[in-house]
Amino acid sequence: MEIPYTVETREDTGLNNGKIGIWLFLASEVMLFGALFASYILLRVGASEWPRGHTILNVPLATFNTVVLITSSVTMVMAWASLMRRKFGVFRVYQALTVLLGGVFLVVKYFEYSAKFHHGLLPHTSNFIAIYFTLTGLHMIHVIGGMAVNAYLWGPGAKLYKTNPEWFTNRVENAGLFWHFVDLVWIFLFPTLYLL
Amino acid sequence: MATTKTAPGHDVHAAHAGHHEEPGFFKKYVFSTDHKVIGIQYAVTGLLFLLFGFSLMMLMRWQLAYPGQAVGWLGKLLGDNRMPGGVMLPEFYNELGAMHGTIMVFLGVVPLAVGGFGNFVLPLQIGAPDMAFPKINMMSYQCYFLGGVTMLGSFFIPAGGAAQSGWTSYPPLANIAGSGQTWWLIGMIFLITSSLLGSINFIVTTIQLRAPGLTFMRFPIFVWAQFVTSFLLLLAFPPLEAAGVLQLMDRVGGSSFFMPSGLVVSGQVAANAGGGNPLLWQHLFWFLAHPEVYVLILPGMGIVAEVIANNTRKPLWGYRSMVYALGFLGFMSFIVWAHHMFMTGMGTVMSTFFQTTTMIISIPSVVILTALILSLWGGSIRFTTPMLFALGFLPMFGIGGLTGLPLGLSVTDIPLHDTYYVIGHFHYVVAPGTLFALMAGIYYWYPKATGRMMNDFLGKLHFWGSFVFMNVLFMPMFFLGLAGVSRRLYDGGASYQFAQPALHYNVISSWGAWMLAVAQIPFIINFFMSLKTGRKVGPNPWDATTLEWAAPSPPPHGNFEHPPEAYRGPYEYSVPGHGSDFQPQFERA
Amino acid sequence: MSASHDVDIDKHVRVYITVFVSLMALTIFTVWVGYRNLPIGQAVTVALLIASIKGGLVASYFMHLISERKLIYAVLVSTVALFAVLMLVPMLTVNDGTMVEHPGGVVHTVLPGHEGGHEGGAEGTPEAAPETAPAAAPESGAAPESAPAPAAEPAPGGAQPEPAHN
Repeated sequence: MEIPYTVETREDTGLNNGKIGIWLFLASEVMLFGALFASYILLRVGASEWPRGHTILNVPLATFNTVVLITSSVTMVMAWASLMRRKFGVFRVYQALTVLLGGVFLVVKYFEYSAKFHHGLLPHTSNFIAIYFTLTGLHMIHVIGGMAVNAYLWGPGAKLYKTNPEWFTNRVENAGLFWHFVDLVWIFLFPTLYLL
Repeated sequence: MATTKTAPGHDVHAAHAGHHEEPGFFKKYVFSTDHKVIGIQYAVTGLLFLLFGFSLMMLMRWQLAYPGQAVGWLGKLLGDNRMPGGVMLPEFYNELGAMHGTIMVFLGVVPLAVGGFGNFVLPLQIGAPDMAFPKINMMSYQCYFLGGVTMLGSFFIPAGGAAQSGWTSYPPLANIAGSGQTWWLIGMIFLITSSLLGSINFIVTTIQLRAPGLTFMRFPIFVWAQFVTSFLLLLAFPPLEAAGVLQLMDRVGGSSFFMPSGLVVSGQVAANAGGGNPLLWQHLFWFLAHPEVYVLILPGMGIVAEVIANNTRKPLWGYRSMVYALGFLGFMSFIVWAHHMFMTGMGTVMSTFFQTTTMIISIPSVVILTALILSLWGGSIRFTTPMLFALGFLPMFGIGGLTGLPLGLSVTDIPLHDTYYVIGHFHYVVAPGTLFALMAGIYYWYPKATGRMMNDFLGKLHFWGSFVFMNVLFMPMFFLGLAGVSRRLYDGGASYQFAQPALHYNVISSWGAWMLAVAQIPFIINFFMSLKTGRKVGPNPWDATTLEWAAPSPPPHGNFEHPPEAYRGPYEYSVPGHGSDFQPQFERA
Repeated sequence: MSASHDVDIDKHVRVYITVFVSLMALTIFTVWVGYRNLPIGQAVTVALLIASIKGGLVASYFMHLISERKLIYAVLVSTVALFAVLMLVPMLTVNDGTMVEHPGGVVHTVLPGHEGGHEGGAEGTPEAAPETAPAAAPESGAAPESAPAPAAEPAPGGAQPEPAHN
């Protein structure tokens, strides 16, 4: 049984199912991270003391990571654009780059976290450290999830291109929307934790 | 286009046999992606959890009516760590209390109302072949199932048993409580994930897969109710998920998000860094939990609307008002939450803000209730079992709603907060409110799902017994609360001097509860018996107008023989000049 | 794919590169501002402003929001409104007083009834927060005892009272 409007757009809404679905999901994610930001605000406003981010966290490393993630957003949208031009080979290159850059982000995070553990900075040390680990940790889980989807679309999932290129392009677009969202969260996370 | 004149028992499976091979047992009943199977999975699982949650409460009610009195066989069954010598330990009472609330709200009512009725009825009622994302639908049930297993499993944790900090899990208590609380948090994360997947599915399906001709203002009220509910679930649950993560960090990672500085527990200074805020949990929790109560009531209101229209043989009064009221209610539900927190030391500016929004939100509720009541006027009422439950819903929800008013005003909340008055209020809305509506839905849509009618006599027995004993159970709670007896006391107030004159209410309530259980027996018998012996019917046994009655009973995979089309509004009953007293949405002429 | 479609994509690609460069520049700018160590109020405002511009660019161009359908906008606008409520309202309920900034960037909250003659120690004493005392009432009948928790910590919203200045 075929579910209508999986690929083709419905006339009166102008959208296909997946596009609406991913935006709804992103809306819920806005509320998820929003709640954590709200917690950060409440904790900070109520705290007797709160360190400036750069006194504890590694700003240069995080700046590098910010650049990495923004670049991966560009490669992601270029991957989709290549599919729109039906240039499958170019898509694969950009998609691989996106996954790779995600990997770089994770490696840097690994070093960042290890340094914290090494200095005995753990969630029970202070609420600043605790919210730092919680916010960046949840973000990291989303990076891993996004990478998994992107890797699948680069690898085994790419088979769909041969039989239904439009459906495959939509899937890449939706995965891209999720990936851009992950980048967007970091754009707010980075100054909040590291620069304020 | 399917007609209403299909012969009873006509088998449409033969028509589809050529399309694909029959899937095996597991693919068909356990790992199905068919919304009808998933809907029944949700409904049956939800009903089982409702029964279990009810049983927990019946245990509690013994302790409340006869505090400290032993029940030998229960003591043997549950063991010395729960009921030594047959006498309930306070810790066990707290487990029962916390899990009764959690199970009823998150594992019982919502899965039945949204997962069960929403999944089964919604695609049929909009003329769709299935949900927009059938695989995600299946995953959402599986997440729910895992959450349920986690919650049930927590009872068997050797050190301390299940969560004991109320369904509200307030820190600092929840932070330092036994390991059952960690399982509760993990269970909640599964349940929230299930809910999010489901709500995305519902919204996309409703917007994209509705039949040609089915514009938004031709939706049955049930569809609108589920649509608004899905938005509430989508946007309100994530903050609770965040809160759950934070509480897990506190419990497992040693952080102090909710632990204030200088906390002293049982004479010892707590070891954390401090600097946290217990009120942060309350804000995040109630940001969900208030919209959650509208999730609890809205699908029920939708069902009542359908049943009333069908059994008065006239259009609903105030369709547009109801739609706008539902939307306004959904929006307002997000900005009233701190009326659960009037006693937390908010200043007068903010408590006035929340009091005001709370008073405003009562308006759409009243609009909906009034429209449903006015819909009865001039109707040709058929007192079928679903209609009895729908009629019973109206005054019961009225009592529930009215008793909420003094709670929503910050000053009158002061003597009533955290007393039995609150318990009476919300149970009236959820139990003889929502549960009655869901019962109406079961009796109403059972023939669509099974092709057989439920027994009407047993149904009426079920209704009258439930109606009487719901009131016996919950009405005394208002008086108990007005007398000042707090909730969550394991002896029902027996150790307080001032409560002595009111303690007999506990006995009345408890007997109400046990008799209410007896009143459910006809329903349980009916539910299973009718599968085999119920009167067989065709697609439209109720002579109803909405699209689901165009499909065969039960509908095959893909639902409709031909994709239906909507030619008119949803409640064209008793149209002047028309031959019969109803004109279905799906009939061309 | 038609040639005109390819030209469309080409235009889009040019936009993506422009946005990328802008994002890099804004990132460097926000880090530079961060190192200026502005007073906290200004620092927050500038950082949020820059982040919003960056986020807006990603959303509008990488996520194609600028050419998206009304339906998606409606969902997002409602979400953002709720997000704002979640950000602001909890803070307002615990921060019902007026915020007073002192030299050195320390910010105190003066609760109603405690204005006039600010003393650093006023909010820090246990008796200073009568409005928060009711919060100490335990929610559960069998709660282990906890000290009136809000009184033990400095009044929410206030910075640490200066030790022994007065």
